[in-house]
Amino acid sequence: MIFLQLCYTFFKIGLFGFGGGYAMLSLIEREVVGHYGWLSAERFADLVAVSQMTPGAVSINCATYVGYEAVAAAGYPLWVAVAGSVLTSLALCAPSLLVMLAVLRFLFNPVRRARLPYLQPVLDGLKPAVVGLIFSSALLLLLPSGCLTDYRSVLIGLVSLAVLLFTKFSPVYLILLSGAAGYLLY
Amino acid sequence: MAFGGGYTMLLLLQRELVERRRYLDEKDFWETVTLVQSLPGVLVFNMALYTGYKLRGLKGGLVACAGAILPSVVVILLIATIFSSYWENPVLVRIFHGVRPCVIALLLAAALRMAMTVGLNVKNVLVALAVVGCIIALHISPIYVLLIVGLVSGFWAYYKAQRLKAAECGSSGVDGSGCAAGTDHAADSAIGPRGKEDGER
Repeated sequence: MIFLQLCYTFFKIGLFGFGGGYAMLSLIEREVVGHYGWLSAERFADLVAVSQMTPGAVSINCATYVGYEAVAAAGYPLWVAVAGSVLTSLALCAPSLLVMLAVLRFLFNPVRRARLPYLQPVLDGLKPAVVGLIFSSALLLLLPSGCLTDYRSVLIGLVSLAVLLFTKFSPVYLILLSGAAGYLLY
Repeated sequence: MAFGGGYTMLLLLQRELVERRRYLDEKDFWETVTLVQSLPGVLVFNMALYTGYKLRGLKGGLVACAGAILPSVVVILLIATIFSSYWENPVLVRIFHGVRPCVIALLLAAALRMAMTVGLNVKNVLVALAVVGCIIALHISPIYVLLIVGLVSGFWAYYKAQRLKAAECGSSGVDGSGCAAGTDHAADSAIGPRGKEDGER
């Protein structure tokens, strides 16, 4: 049952994953934290940090971890949880695969592409929505986790934001540094 | 490998695929990235699929995809099996207290940067705010929000195209043949509305 739920959920997320990893986070959050409760909001924020720091796409990393946690929490042994995480990652990528194959057959052929005159406006129209999605992921992480309630986390948040916006400092090192700051401040 | 995701990864991909291995040429690479970015799915995964497909057909695409997923799965599984028993460890708790605000800053920065590339005009800001409101305040699933925005954009483009067409063959009377030719014409020159969108941007 949990396998079906994971497959269905992450297939859906992959299918509507416009705008890349960060925009997808709000979809993942909604399903994984809000709907099924596979992870708590705090754990999800931690997972995002871990996914950012490890190699590979953020969304695939998240899917792998959620798959593992959900199946392990349902009381299955380790190897089943591993199978669950592989399955979840594949479910996330399956829509990509189908869409891309369709694209390769279809959109790279200009004659066929011309028969879909309203595709491009739709894709363009989704772009501002993606900005809203990423903002929502930030807020969804912010509101329930209760972080940014004391001056130390506000400080870390503001400094990180300034560094990210005004310098080309690598996000990976920034996460490591803020982890060190957390260790020292708390 | 591909630490950091998103745009950091694009540069890595470009260096590897275009400059070192010469699988794709520069123009092909950026055209594909632009197209893939507006489609749903995982960017790196899609780029892997495209490159593999181009070099060796369907099999090549599938192999490249497996290559794109494998490091994620292996590393995250290692972390998951080790970490899951240590989440409550006091040292880790302190570290993650510091990391969480940074993650939020990361997302805010990504949103702001994306907002800059999309362009700050009244329409875009309103759409973005409406999306945030629907998700945060009204608890509507992001999937439905995306569906609605997509549908509205599609219908809006359709409406504009219809008005344009009506203006073109309005004076000659609606005798069917003229407008039928008009629709064929619109299908052939689908660049028309797209070109205008680009002009607005």
